[in-house]
Amino acid sequence: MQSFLDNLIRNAGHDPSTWPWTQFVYLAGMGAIAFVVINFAAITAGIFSWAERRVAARIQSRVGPNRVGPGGFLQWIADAVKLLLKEDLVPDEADQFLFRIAPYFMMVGFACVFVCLPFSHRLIVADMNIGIFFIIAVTALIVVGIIMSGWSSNSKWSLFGAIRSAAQIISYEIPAGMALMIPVMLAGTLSTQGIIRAQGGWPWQWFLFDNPAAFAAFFIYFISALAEGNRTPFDLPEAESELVSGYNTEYSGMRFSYFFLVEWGNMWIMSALATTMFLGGWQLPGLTPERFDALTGGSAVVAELASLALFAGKTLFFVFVVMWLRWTLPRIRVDQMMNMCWKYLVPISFAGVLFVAVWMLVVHAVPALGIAMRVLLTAAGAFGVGAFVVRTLKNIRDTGDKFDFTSNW
Amino acid sequence: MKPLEIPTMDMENKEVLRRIEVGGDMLLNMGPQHPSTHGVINFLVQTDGEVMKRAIPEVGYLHRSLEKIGERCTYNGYMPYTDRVDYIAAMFANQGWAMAVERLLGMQVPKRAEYCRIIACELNRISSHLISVGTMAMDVGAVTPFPYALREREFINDLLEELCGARLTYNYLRIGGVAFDLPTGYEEKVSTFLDHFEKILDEFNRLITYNEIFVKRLAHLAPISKEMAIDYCLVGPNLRASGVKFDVRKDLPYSIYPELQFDVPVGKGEVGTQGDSWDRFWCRVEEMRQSCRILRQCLVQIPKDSQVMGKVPRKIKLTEGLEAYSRIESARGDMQYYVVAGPGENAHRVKIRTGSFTAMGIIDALSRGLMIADLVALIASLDVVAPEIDR
Amino acid sequence: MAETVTAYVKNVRDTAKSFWEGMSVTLSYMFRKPITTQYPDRTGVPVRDTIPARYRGFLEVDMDICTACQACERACPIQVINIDIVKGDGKTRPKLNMERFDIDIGKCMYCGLCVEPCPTGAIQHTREFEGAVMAFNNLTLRFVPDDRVPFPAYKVPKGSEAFPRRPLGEITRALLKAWDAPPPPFPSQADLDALNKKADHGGKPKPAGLDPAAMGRQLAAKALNVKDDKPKLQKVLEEAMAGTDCGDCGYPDCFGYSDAIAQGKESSTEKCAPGGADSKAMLETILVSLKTGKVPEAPAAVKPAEPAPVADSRQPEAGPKGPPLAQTLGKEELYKVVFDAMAGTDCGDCEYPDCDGYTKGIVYEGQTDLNRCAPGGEDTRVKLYEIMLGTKPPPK
Repeated sequence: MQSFLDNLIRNAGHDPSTWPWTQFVYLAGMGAIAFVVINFAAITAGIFSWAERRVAARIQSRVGPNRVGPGGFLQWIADAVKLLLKEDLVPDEADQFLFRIAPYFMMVGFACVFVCLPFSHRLIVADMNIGIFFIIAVTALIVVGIIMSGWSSNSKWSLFGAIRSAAQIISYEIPAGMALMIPVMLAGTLSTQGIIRAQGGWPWQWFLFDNPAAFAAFFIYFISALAEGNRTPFDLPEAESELVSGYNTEYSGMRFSYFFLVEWGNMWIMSALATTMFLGGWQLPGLTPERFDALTGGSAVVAELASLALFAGKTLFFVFVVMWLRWTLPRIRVDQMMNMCWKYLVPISFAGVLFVAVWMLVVHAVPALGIAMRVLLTAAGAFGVGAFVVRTLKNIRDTGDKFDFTSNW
Repeated sequence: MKPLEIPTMDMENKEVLRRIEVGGDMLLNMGPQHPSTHGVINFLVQTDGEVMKRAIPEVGYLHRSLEKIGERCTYNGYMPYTDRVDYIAAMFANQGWAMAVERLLGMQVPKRAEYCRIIACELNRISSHLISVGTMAMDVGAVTPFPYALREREFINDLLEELCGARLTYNYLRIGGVAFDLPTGYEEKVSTFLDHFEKILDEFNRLITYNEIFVKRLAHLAPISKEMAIDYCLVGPNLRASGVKFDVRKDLPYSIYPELQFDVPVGKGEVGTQGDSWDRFWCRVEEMRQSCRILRQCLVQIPKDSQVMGKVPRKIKLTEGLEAYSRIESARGDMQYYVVAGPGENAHRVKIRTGSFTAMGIIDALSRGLMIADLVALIASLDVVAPEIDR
Repeated sequence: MAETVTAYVKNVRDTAKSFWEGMSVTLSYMFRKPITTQYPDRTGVPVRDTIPARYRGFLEVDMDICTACQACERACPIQVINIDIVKGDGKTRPKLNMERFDIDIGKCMYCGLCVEPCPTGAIQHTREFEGAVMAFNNLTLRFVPDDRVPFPAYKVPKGSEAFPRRPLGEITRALLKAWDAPPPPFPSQADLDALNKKADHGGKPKPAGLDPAAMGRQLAAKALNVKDDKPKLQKVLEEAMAGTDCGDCGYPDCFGYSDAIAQGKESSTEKCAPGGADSKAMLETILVSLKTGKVPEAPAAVKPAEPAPVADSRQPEAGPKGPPLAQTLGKEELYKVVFDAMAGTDCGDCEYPDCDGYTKGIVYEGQTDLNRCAPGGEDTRVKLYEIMLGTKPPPK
């Protein structure tokens, strides 16, 4: 981003290192980018709120909101306006100050992640060399907001939600971090763009199919990300049937909407990160990053848009998977949640890190083994997807229903 | 055999809990407005963090004096009120009342009417159990099985609506018979539904019953031993899940049940201990299958003569002091009506014994050492319905 | 150790398997037709037309075939139906006229008990169910639109099996108000005055109403003429009944009941529910005169007796009074007087099932507690003490 602004200044005929207004241009640039990023986050979160309702409805054999705008697409705007116009209630017994600022903490932790998230080949706010580390660090800010909201509400249910959330997010940072270490090791960099560049466009070039440990690490990361995003089966902090609504029980109006904005926005973050780390990010099949860099003119724009679309497509698919999981699984209990983290995910991810370290040495010595493993895992993945599709179609037939995707939207 | 520890439920204890937070423990008022208490019930929960020390159910928020109303209404006029005893399985309450008054009158119900009753009741049992298993899945956090269960329930509601004109408070049974005969083509409709439903039940099992998270949540959770279940007067699926093979339909047969072939599913502790919450869930799922079996037999065996009402005087006036007692297997277990005839057209005393009320008593004993999330699952697994508790 | 490892692996495998099974089920539903319909505006056909014929929606009364037997009113467990009847002699005016036939659908629990006893099928459940309104008062369906124009009861033609009925739902649909319709106007002072004036008659026979005593004597005279001709006697007896064929008496119709009395098989005179106390009094007059062989010359006994308690209550200190009515009147007449004194709500508060029971208790069974009529309150107490004991009631 800085180099982009430097180029602008140079084009205007100034030397960025000596021009006195450089810092102000940087500031204006930062403001503009922050505005764009926060709006992007808010709008995707809003759209996801609609999408989740439609997906949930369809999964549950319902129709879902389809009245506002085409297919109900503008429903989220109607909801947002409603929430903005609602009274902002603060309970009498609550800690007024903390109660009011808690949602902003969550917003900060959430919005900061977008700094390092790539969108396409060139589109990224700042390609930091500590990208992954930064992301893991700032997501932990969210838990501060949750604890503040839960504690300041002065409600027992909220407190339960907050404590559960703290325990959950802090615990699951560990397997998530360890799982993310595996692509980092494979790529040899913490930079998000660097990790994507280390992969390729075709599925067998992805880190997902690199070796069994990376394959497992993907699922560990995904499960941990669900837990960090408070999504089912880890929605204990806001478990409706147990804790009424968890840490946000006492909130209303706009402050309430912040919590959900963060929850749905988080879906983009966790999916984009999974895409970046394991699924080749924006890499176009058949176009190596070096050739991509060398493209100029119209073809560069087309390739850029294609990579953006590909990245968004992969991310949206995972967003869908997250929604789909939520409407399938029951919630686990708080002790089982801890059990799962410390007895299953943490040991497996540690073992995975060790395995990858060894595996890298082995592949370095015998490259053919690495290729064989990639082919094997890709084939297994393809077979799994195929078997799943067959199973799904059989489900439809088994109950005497027929395939019908188009009617009654 | 260790003697059972029967916890005290004295008011003093409750008051202490209510006023002060005992010894650093937290007092949590779960309910009366809480999403998973299945109606207006309050649980006073004494917790130490997530782990509960005990949970005391406080009932009475939904008391509507239904028994007193029974003493004020005519025998026929009380029938719609019995719908409200247990609105999820209204047909059984109807049947219990009708049977009690028929015993007072000393009359026989025409055969076809009995079959109509059993068809309606078994359909109602399926729909009631669907609510039970659906809400149980929802309380454990899986929302999707609930709409699936409700969708099937809607089909049953459509069938019952066609039969008697209402979807929830049926008021279908009458003293001496039923209000309407089966509509034309009803048998085919029911059997079409059963064909569809049995497939859906398999799908439901795959979606939730054997889901690992669901099993882990419910297996070994709050197991009720045989002795304990009997001591606490548990009835219905709650009792059978503990391994006690007692079903009023089999053991104290009434109506046409002796003519029907069906099994009584008993909890086996398939994934955990016998009598745990999962067994209670599973018992209900299996009972739905057995109800399908019963329904299929009824549809074949139903006599074709169209008499559905016995001879009943328009105004029922009975000798004062006559007593009658009826006992049926409702969706929530043994439902009993005790009626003493009054001097005029109404009863002198009506007493209803329902399964949900006794199920509430065991919660205090079971809740010790469970977690809050478990309490929710436990309440759901006992399948209590608030109006049935308080009446 | 090996066991632990097996359990560990099994847990992982089972979890993966349940993800697989569960997710394939939920995904398959993405590709099926949603089962829900988009009520109210996107449902192919109106929902009303899709629900079965037995559906119990709003009640509807076809006043053209309503016999005013009030069987529905009696069957209703929660008093949703209110029928006000003016009685005529059956010659110049129809025997029963309905001033009011209100059904409060806000209170109705749609149990269908009122439909079953209806002899002509005038009251029926429709398939209408959309009636949300903003004003609660609009939920009352008034099947007699104007109480100044009473609706004559339908006389059932003998031996008819079916009754012509307007298409089901038509009447109720017309009566249902729009959801934002204004509530009926609050009664003005003039309206209230008019109501009070009406109430001043005390609900007792209105000027144009029926005098059951006089009519009873007429009928008794007729009955004496045809004493030995059973069919003719039956006709006379039937005239004393309400003629609604409601079946409340336990006989299929009025013919059955009157025939049974004429044949001497039935001795109870109180079974005609629509006719109420009037029918009972007339029937008893007839039966008594049949037994004694002469028409009672009651006017002298009843007419002066009636104002007596009123006069007494007006001048309570007027020295020694005559003996109380209880000692001067016959049991039947006394029954009527006592019955009139009660509130007539059949509330059962007196621990008798209804007013009839309490009256009988006082007149025939020697019940001495005269304080039990709760709805009648102080008025009833004063009257009862006057009638039975000739004294003022003791203070409570």
